[in-house]
Amino acid sequence: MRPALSAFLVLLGSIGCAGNVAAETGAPLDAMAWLKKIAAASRQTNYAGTFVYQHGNQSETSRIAHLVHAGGESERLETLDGPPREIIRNNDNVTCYLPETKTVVIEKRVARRFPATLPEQVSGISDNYVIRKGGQGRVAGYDCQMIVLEPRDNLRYGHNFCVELKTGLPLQARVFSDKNELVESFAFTQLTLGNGVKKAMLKSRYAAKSKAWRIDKTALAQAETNVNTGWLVKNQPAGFKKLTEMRHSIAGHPVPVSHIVYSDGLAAVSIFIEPIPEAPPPTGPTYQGAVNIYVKTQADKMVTVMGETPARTVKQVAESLSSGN
Amino acid sequence: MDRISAFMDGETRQHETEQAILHLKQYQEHLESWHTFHLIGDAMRGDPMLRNDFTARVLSRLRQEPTMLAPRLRWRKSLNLALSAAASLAAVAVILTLVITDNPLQPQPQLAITPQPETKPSIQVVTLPQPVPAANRNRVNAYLRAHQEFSPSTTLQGVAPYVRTVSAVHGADGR
Repeated sequence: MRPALSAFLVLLGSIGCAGNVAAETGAPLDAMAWLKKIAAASRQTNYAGTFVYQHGNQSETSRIAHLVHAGGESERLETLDGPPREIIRNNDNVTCYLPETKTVVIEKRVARRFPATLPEQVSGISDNYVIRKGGQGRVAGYDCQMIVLEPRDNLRYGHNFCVELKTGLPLQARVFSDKNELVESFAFTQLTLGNGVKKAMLKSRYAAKSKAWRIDKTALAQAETNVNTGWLVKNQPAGFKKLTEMRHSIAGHPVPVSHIVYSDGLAAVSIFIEPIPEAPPPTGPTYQGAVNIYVKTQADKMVTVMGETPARTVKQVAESLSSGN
Repeated sequence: MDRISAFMDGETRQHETEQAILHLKQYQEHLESWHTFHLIGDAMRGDPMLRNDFTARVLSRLRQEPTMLAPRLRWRKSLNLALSAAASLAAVAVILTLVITDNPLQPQPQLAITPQPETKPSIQVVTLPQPVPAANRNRVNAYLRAHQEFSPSTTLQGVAPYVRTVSAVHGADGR
């Protein structure tokens, strides 16, 4: 009951604060400054804690630790309920341990996460979202500032963040549909910041045990960035711009996959194009949390479009794809 | 109390449901627990909170609605009960939607109104998105990891690009 009660109290708190929100006046620089602070924080801050991820009527609890050290960045994420699963990241090297199937998936990130480019994108966000400061809230025992991003049209979702005052780390993030339904949320329930984060918290639970497990390295092959895949989105959703076009390996896929990314500065839509597999997945729309997915076949290829946007945005991209033939 | 909680989770059979409704009608304190359970559920899901007198206001509004007169059909009594229960639930759902949409505390999407070209009326079959089927989750997960690496919102959310994929596997094997 206690976590439920605290979530309840947190919510009461945030509603109370949101009532004091000042009237919208363009995009105040201050809210923008907060967004930039968030962008830097998740990369530069040492933190360790437990968070709850909620989507639909499901909620799951995980533990995370993030440490910046002389050798770069390390991160560890493990699930606390349901099937065990652990993800360890050291800079760009990502290892997923799946104890149930005794599998280790090794991947290399293609993009170093976005913070380096984000500040420029942040200014573009205001074309598509009204950004404003909300009131102050409190999450996991820390005071935080509410930042609200309201979509300017129905091609994107609304986002709320509650950002820890000193570090800028988001303690709570929520995604709302155009019907104001909560699509997904995550919130820390317990958090340690700064010097309290120790190297031991990043040690893998399975690294030693997994010596004899099956190792999947299919995603390690070289990636080609800035390629021309020959595919085009004819009816681009308003406000979305092409971020990158590349070809890279993805775990479990025999040949490199073409991957095109569009973004409105906050949300992204990815298009994956590959040969039709022997056992093709069902076509049509599906979703996972706030991510909508649309699968179809076109020009002897299988196309998967996904984005943390409403289903209509993903569908518009999928339906206006041209293979250039 | 267990029965009320089971009823709330939709885990009761029809006759148990009817019993639970009758029970709630009879015992005021259990009716209050029922309201409190829902209030807590709403709060935890982050839904807007309803005022305590919400039910009273719905009922008073229903009383003000004109009564529809229609030829009486001879349905079985239980069917009648089920239908009237469904009707009140529908009314509550409609009002709930209104309340939620009018809630000024949450982001209001502003729809850009652009003149629409005239189109011929056509019948479209709309397929609503379904959760990713379990058999397809591993494939989708690999894509999700690749996608989220490039999504600015991932960075803003802070909690690593793996949250959703961890969760997806979760759902695939459990429950």
